Amino acid sequence: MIENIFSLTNLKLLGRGAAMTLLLASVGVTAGAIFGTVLAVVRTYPARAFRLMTPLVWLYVEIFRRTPLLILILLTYFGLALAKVEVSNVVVAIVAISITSIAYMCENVRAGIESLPRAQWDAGFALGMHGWQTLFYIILPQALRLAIPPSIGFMQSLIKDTSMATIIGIVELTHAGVILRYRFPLGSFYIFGAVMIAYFLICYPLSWAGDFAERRLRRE
Amino acid sequence: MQLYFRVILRNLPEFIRGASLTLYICTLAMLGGFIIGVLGALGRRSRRRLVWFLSTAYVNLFRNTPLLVQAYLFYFGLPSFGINLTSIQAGLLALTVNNGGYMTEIVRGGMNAIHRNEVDAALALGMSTRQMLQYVVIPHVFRLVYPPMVNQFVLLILGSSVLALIGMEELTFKARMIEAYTFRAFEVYLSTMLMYVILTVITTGILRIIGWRALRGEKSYLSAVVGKLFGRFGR
Repeated sequence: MIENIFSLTNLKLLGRGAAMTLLLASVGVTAGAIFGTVLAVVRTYPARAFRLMTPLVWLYVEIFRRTPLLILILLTYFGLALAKVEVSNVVVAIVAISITSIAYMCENVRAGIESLPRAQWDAGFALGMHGWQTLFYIILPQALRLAIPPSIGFMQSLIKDTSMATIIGIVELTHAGVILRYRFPLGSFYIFGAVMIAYFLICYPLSWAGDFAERRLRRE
Repeated sequence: MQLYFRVILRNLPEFIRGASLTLYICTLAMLGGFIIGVLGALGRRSRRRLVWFLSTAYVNLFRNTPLLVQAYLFYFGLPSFGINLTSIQAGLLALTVNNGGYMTEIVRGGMNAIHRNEVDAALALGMSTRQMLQYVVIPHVFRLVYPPMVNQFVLLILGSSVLALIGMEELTFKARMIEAYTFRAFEVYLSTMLMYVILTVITTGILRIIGWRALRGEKSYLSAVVGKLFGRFGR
């Protein structure tokens, strides 16, 4: 039975599923890194105009860090349909994953910015730098470096969370397993065991990268 | 576009039933996970190669795979070995085992933060091993471990939503059921999202208050609790 389950066509299905998982996760992380940094800057930038937006960013982060991704995917799916926006399911999943990803990455970057002493800002101003110059040349280079290890950890959990895109019918790794299970109900254990190993092979090397980044940081 | 939130009010009892199952399952998984976490952390610090290897393999395997796949594995895979679990049993098993992996790392982090000198100092004061654990080490580890445990509990509540996919009737499952017979998908999921937010805000609030009370007078309150537990088992 095992040879039948893991025939070439079925392995291709699993491979395509893994590719979709990686696509969802990488787009989610990229969106999170870009917009999360923007939100983190909005939340921490010491100017009065931004201080008004701080509670909004706080609310966004608090709400979406306390929402299960599964519910968010379903809400996006039906919300976009209600707004008469016709997009493919993959886009729906990417939107939902990005929304959570932005919230989490915002927290990572904010922690990085806030762990820097305030004197860093003052030093920039004392050198006659403009606020934005201080941000780009002094604060962000240090803060983003500090945010790398937690972000790698988050990337791992995001890869695992893409499994929830199964619910709107996207064929990623977990759903490929579910499809195979329809064909071989008795081989469920081997199928999901294989899916589990595939996730492990994707996620585990990232923790080496995380350890490496952390060691580099500590040496500095 | 009109939204009818009356549907939510009419089905509120169902939602509450789902939410209480979510909380119940998460509490059990947290307790189980804590026990696994303590054992796993001791295993990961063990000098015996086999114990170290098994606990490390367990932690890495379950922390690097999605809860959904673990739930599928236990729910659909175990029957081929003659183990038939209901969806609640399989879900609880998956959640506990998954949480155990995370808790192991949390507890290990707390134990690693204890400096050797602290133990030596306690022993130098003439404390017995039991006293050393009770008054020095355990209160300190607990204080370090408590805040990440509260975070982990929130993640557990969010993660448990996945168990709806194997048919456990918790909050997400109820939401999908109500959506299926009212066709008010957006309203239902929007309110479910708010319910999760409220649920996590309330639980973290309660846990923080408990933690604050327990950790404020760490010398009196916590070691009294630990002392009662250990005293009863010790003698």
